[in-house]
Amino acid sequence: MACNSTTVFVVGLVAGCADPAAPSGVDALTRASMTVRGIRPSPEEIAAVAADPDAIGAIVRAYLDDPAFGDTIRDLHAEQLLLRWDTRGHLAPVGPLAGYDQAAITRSTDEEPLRLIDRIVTTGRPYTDIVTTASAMADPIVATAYGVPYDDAPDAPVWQESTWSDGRPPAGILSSTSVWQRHMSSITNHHRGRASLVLSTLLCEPLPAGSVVSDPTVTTLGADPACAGCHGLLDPLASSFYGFVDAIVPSDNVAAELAGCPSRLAGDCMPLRMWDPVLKADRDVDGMPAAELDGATVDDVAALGRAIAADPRFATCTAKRFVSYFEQVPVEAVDDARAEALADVLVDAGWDARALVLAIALDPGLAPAAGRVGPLQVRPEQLARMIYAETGFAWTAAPDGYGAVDLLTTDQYGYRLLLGGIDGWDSIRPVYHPTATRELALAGLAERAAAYAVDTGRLPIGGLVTERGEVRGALRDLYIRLTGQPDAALDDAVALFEGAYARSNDPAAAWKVTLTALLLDPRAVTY
Amino acid sequence: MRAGLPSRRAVLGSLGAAGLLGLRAQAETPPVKLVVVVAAGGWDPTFTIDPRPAFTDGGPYPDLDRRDPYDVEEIADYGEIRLSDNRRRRPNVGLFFDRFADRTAVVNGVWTGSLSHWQAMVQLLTGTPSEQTPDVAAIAGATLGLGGDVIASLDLGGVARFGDLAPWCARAGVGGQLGKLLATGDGWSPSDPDRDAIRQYLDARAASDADPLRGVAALERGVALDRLAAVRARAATLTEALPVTVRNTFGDSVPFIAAALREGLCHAVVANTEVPWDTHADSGRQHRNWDTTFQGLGDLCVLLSEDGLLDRTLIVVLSELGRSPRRNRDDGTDHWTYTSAVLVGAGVAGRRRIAGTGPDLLGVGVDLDTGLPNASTAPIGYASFAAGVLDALGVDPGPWLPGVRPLRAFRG
Repeated sequence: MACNSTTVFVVGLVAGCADPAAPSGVDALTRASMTVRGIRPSPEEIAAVAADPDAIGAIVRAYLDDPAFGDTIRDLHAEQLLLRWDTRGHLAPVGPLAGYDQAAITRSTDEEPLRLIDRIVTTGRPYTDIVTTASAMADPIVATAYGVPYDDAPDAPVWQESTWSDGRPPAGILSSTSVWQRHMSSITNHHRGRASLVLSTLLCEPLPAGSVVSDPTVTTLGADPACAGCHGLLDPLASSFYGFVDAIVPSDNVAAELAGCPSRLAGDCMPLRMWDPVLKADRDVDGMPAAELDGATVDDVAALGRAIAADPRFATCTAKRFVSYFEQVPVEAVDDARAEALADVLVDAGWDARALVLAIALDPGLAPAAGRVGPLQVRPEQLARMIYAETGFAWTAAPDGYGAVDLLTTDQYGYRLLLGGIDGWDSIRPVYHPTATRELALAGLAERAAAYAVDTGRLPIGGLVTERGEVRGALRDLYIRLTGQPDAALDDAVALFEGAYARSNDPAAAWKVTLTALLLDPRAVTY
Repeated sequence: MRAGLPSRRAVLGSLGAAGLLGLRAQAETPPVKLVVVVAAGGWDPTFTIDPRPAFTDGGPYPDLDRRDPYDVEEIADYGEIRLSDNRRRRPNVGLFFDRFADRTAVVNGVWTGSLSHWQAMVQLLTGTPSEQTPDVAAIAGATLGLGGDVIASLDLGGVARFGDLAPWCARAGVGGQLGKLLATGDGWSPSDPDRDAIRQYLDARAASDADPLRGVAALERGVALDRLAAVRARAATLTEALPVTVRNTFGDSVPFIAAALREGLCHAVVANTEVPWDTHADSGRQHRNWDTTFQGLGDLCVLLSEDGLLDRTLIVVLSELGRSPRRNRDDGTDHWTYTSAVLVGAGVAGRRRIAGTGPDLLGVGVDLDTGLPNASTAPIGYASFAAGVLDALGVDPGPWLPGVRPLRAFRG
């Protein structure tokens, strides 16, 4: 297929050819950079695109090799699968984990499935691997907690690809301890919540919402149409999860570890098991139906994963989810025809999700000039990366007895919820509008980052100049870095600096005020 | 945009203009404020406000300590309200009704429409199946609060849904992060004149942006920044009252809620009881949950009374789910699509009970205006309940919940 065919444009990009139909303009580059990496383009990249709009394609393609792309993939899946949930109980620093702090344990166990998805996507493996691979990812904490094989050689990477060692069916994130710990079951739920996650998030088939009124004359729930509809959809799929434990109870683990793991409590000691084949027999005990997805037998999660991978809804739903995340719209608002076209891109690329990401990031319709997608709000996770990249500042804290946390990407002690993010438990949909508390958190971040950058000499580049011409030059550089605008009008910023300098007679203080304002610029907190 | 809902630009236009001009209908009395207390997780009303003494085998009361003469469940009648009262295990529930029954109504049998925590929560708080719809607190706050209060709706526990009304709303964080951010002393911060200059700069930048798509975003941000400025003006009061803990319980937050309403920080508050209601195992935990929640509710009513605000505040205590009538083999109960609510304060008919559940906890039809049984009607739906809350506050639910008849039976 020709490289200049629109539908294979991105496939071509991944394969190594360029397409003159790519969107152009610095604004488009900024949006693409924020989409793919969550950080601004460099001044050099901005200059390159300003000089040659056709340069955008190659630049954005290179973003796929940036570690920040992996961060974005993890952020996307964390939000949609609700896998970062630090406000609720996690495993504690006891027993074999006693050498770690709570913050690190919470972070590592939450990241386990996200690291797997990151590895699959960033290395160009088929996206279907996220529901079929036998691989798992582990760092020392995950390896210790869950018994995953791990190479602890000094030069070995922290996060390693490994496998579950307990014989659980291989099914990517469908086999993940952390996923099912977040999405717990119970003695009466019978894995229905897990089935609902698969249907709604991976296949975009949510349960029907509240339109059927329970019939009070019905004496058995099974005959009540309000109940039967959901159960008919969920129960066969839920049956495929038997063998997985309902939940690991952190308090039980603590008690067992503190008791020295006597044999009677061995099951509650590390390494903790989320899989026990003996539990498969509970399916019949619970009266659950045969495991099926749309009439096809899926006796375990491995079969379920293969069925999902082969299901046409998976590609379309993946496209919808990615668009939803990148364009900050509800999944149900994504146009079906567009989703189908993007699903074709994904499948035609051998399920290389990088092709899908590029297709979205370089879609001329995404560019601000197209007028289709309004200003997008910088997410808390993007703020953390963006601010660190530009100022060197990371907003962290170390609450007593908890450990170091990033205040932008957590909720127990941090401000993610206030910044419009989700806490993954009570709040599961982001807020894409400004709010007073988002502005308060942004201001706190900007002030601290500005102070840090000035005090460490990182910004403004060229030092704490005060002469108007030099100030204007420094501001132009800052505008390009923070807002991606090489041609912004600077008079307001110059006036701001001069007013602050007049009040304080302190160049450092004046630059802190000015830099704070630039970090809060409408073009800095949106893109 | 869903039929019947105002467009985002129209909302901004009407609310923004009213805010900018400080306009609000000069009513003879100030508008009623709203506190929504969410027992997130699914409470079991049979422990208190929807008693089922007839249950024996596997029923709701096997926890009693037969050796303790004070651990008894007795039905206490407060007018129409029937309370399962246990002064050993849940003293604060009985104490609350002893003191505030004259201001309280109970609604049993509200159909939540789902067994999913999340979906039921959306439906109960917004009156619709859509996550994108603002909840009753955001609607009430944005409609009634402008010109008087700073924030339309303040969320304390992460459960509120703002929809397109978000610029007028705010989240405080589960551990009082709002207070942490308002506190000063942690390194450099701009002076007040510097802060004013920064604001002027941001306004100028927004005004000079030629991109037409940024107009609505700029308006929204202006609204949010205006509210932030007013929040900062109240920082001393707020930081004193707002607890900063690992996770604020409802009781921890009560002084802050009272202070926030008194100081005009917000018109509506959405709080989370932050206790473990989802008792699929060990239903006995419901005792403490009820006791703790009603202790907080009682404290809140006392503080609001002292501030002269209880007559001007509607408090709605609800949960997105009820619980199944029989215990499972883990001594727990499971999700149930019928729940109950407690309403206190402004406009509430005291000692009133809308008995919307039958002997087996399934919903029964009631007349939405009188609360009388009506077998020809459906059980009280979540939409009617939400519409009823708005209606009680003087907010026309029609634009937000078109065609929905509001529940009025709890009104005085």
